[in-house]
Amino acid sequence: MFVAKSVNAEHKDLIHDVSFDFYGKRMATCSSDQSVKIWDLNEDGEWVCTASWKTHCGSVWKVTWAHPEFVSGSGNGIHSTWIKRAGLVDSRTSVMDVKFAPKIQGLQLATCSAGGVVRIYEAPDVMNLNQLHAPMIAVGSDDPNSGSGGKVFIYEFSANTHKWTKVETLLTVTEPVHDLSFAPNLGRSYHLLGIATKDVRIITLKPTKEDSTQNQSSLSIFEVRQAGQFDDHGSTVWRVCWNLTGTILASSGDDGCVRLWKANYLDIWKCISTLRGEAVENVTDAGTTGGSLQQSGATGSGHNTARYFKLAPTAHPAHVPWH
Amino acid sequence: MNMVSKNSGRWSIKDPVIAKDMHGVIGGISTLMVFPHKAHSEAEKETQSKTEGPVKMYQVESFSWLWSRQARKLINESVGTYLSLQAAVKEAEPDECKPLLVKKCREYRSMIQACVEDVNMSQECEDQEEIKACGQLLYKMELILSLIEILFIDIKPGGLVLGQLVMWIRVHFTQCIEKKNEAMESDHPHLHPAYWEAVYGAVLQGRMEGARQMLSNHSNADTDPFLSMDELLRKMPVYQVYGGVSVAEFTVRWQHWQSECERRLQEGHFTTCHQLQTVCKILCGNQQTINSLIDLMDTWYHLMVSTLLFTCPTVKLFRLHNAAQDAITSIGGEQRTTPLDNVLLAAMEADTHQVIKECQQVLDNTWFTAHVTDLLCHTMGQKTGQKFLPELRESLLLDYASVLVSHSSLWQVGILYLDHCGASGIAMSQMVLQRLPLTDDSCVHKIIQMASDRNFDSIIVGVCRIMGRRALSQGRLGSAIWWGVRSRDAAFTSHLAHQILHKYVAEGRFESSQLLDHLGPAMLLSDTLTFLGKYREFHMMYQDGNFQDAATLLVSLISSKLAPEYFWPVLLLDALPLLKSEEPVISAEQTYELMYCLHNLHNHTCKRGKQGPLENEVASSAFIEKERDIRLALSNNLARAIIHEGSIEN
Repeated sequence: MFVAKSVNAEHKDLIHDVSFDFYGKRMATCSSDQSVKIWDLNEDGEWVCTASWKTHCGSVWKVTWAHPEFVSGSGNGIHSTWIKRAGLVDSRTSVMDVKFAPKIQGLQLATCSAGGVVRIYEAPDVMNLNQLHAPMIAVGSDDPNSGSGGKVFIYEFSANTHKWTKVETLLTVTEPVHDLSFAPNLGRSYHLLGIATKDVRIITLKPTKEDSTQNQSSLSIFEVRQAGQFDDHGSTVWRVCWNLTGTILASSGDDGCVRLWKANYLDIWKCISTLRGEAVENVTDAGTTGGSLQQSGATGSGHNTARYFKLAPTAHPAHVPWH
Repeated sequence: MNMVSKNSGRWSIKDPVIAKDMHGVIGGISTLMVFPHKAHSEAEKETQSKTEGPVKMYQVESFSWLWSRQARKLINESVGTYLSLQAAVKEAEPDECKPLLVKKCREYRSMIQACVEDVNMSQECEDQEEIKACGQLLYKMELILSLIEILFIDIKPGGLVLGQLVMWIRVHFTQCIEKKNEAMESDHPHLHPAYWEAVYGAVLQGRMEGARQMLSNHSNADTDPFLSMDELLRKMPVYQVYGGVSVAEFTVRWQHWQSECERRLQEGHFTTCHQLQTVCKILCGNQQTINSLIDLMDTWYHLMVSTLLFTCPTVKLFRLHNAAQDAITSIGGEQRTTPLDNVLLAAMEADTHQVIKECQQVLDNTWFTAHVTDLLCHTMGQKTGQKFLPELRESLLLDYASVLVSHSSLWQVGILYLDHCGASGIAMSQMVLQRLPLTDDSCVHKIIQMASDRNFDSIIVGVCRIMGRRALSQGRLGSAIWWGVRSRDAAFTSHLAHQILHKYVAEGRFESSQLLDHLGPAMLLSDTLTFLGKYREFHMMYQDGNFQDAATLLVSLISSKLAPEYFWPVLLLDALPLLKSEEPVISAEQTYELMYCLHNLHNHTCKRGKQGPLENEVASSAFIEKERDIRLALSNNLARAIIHEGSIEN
């Protein structure tokens, strides 16, 4: 059974993105009305808008939160002024997506622009390189030309060479990719990637290399398996999002529905719930989706996800994005 | 809260704005925030589309019965039983397991019973619909669990199960008792409309004593038919598992008894009273008669047990599903079965997998499936054909635990369950402990305690770091250092120690001196912190009048270069009273050290003075004034010390 509580968004136009902070008690929203709002969850369980400001340099498409260890603001939500810590100004084209790296990577931020470039920024900090898997990033392309092969690329970072190398291209995904996200890995021996393309895809990547700790010179080889392909939306899927335990995937599609997916103990995925707004007539604005995002030539990057790493060639080491 | 309407897994939100294009983002474990979305492409077109109403977001959460007040008690009590079960099973011998499992199963059942009582005592002000639904849910849970106990866990030797099933029916179907009481309380019991129904009901449940008691209250109790019936009822053999009578012998006796019943029926003992005839037909195992009384039994399982009681009392466990199918057919076939019936049927077919699957359909809460699967898993052990059980158990326990951890007051219970869920459980525990909002100190300490019990060092470090930064931003330096030390973050702690030292230089006093004095070995985390701790020690020694040791300490602090440069003036100023004291406390060697320090400081100050304004104006100006004094004191002390040491040697 579901219960829904409405929250007056106080935005004058529709919303581009919503993001929760690390604890789930604070939320950021950005909208077409060119403003960003911050919300706090009060003791009664109500969302209260505690800050709002207009952005002056164009629209904001995405918002995301840093890990609280890097934040020096008060954790009680009492403060009412958010201080702009840094601006990242080297992208001349729009930034399509932005995400912070997992805390273990130190303070790093990955952005991808409409021009098809992924940039990674790092705050000089002690990086803890003691990890189980080499850092990985997945990049998806929304190039509508389905003849040009797989649209999802997996890059891996090698600590020895300080370089990123493409280790895998998912050939089963040939339609433009609009969103993708790694599931938080809680005790699994493989990586789980959710992809929003013309349908919902769930891909498992199982590293076949046994000992990945010391021998950093060789890159991982993955056994790629498609754990699920679902056409329930019947139309383009725009967004996928995992919950904290990596057990539930939420997909948002052009049919105006949000669907929740879960796997049973045999790792078989199925849709457990469908949520829709009523008075929806299933008329999708199909014409606008593929066409206007077409970037001539370059494989425009639709976006990215979970783990982020330092890309030596980008040569923008000095930016310190503290949020 | 708006309730969202349901239609078999599909839910809708009534809102024209969101109806056009809805996106959802998951926050936490199961909270979904849906919002009316506009794509980049649309926004870039700069179409000034007017929204058809206020823009609203919706926080959608799955609501579980587990959040209700009644469930709370069940959750808190059952965790104790669950944990003791896991511990006991690990240690027990294989043949000790069964009584242990039976005991735990009964504990769960008694907890459910306690909940039922709670529900019955509920106040009128509470939602009656909810109370009723809750009551039904608990009834179903207890019904299923007690059957599982009989059919899977507490299997008697020989697999003879009817005795337990009869008890099961008696406990869950009490209409006959109610009718009996109703009839007996009236003036003329035998004339009460419920009288004979009560008698039939009692007989069908094998309550022969009760039936005999009622019949003895009939006005015609002294007549032949009644006396005959009384004798038959009295003499019915009942199988006792540990009664010492073998199955074969019992069967002979029972058949003998039943043929006696048939003989008396045929000889017309009961022709004068057709109700007694009916009773006798029941005793003879006449299927038609028994079926005709279905209204008194309500369900196919009651029918099945009653039928077996008079047709095959030595029925074995593996034959049960046939009897079950027959009973279902009698009541009208599979179309009449409910999901609850499916669970019971699966149990009678000894199909563990199906039982669990059907339970998930009947009960929407994960408490039951998790605990039952756990019990079944321990019961079945490593039996062939049940290989799926351990994985299924872990998966269901994880599901249950993830429901608990997403609740602000049940997360601790959730973590206790996660301890027994393998690698995934550990990972989820760590994630939960990291993501709990650090609201107040008691909460933080609870989190740290739980993390340290499980050796989650990285989490403790992380939490302490966050608390340290929070304290710093609130200006509580002492508290920040305390957290910094616990987080073993040397860089952060050094930074804080420097802050405190700077403050001392500026203001001349220490805040949070208590905390600093009790750092103990933790101060070795960073050099600056060590210096701070030692400097506090120096203060203590000085205040205690222990000048000799204080002086030694002070000089060692200076010579060891532990002190940061900006602090040297302070140290030298501290040395001044010691230099001027009546008794010489600073030796010649030590005086040389101090002079060297002063010399260096002087040079640095001059160099810096040429470059720009000095940092700590207050301290530096105080120092410059006193510099002459210090030089004088040093020289005097040196002279004094040399003389003093020279004389002692002689």
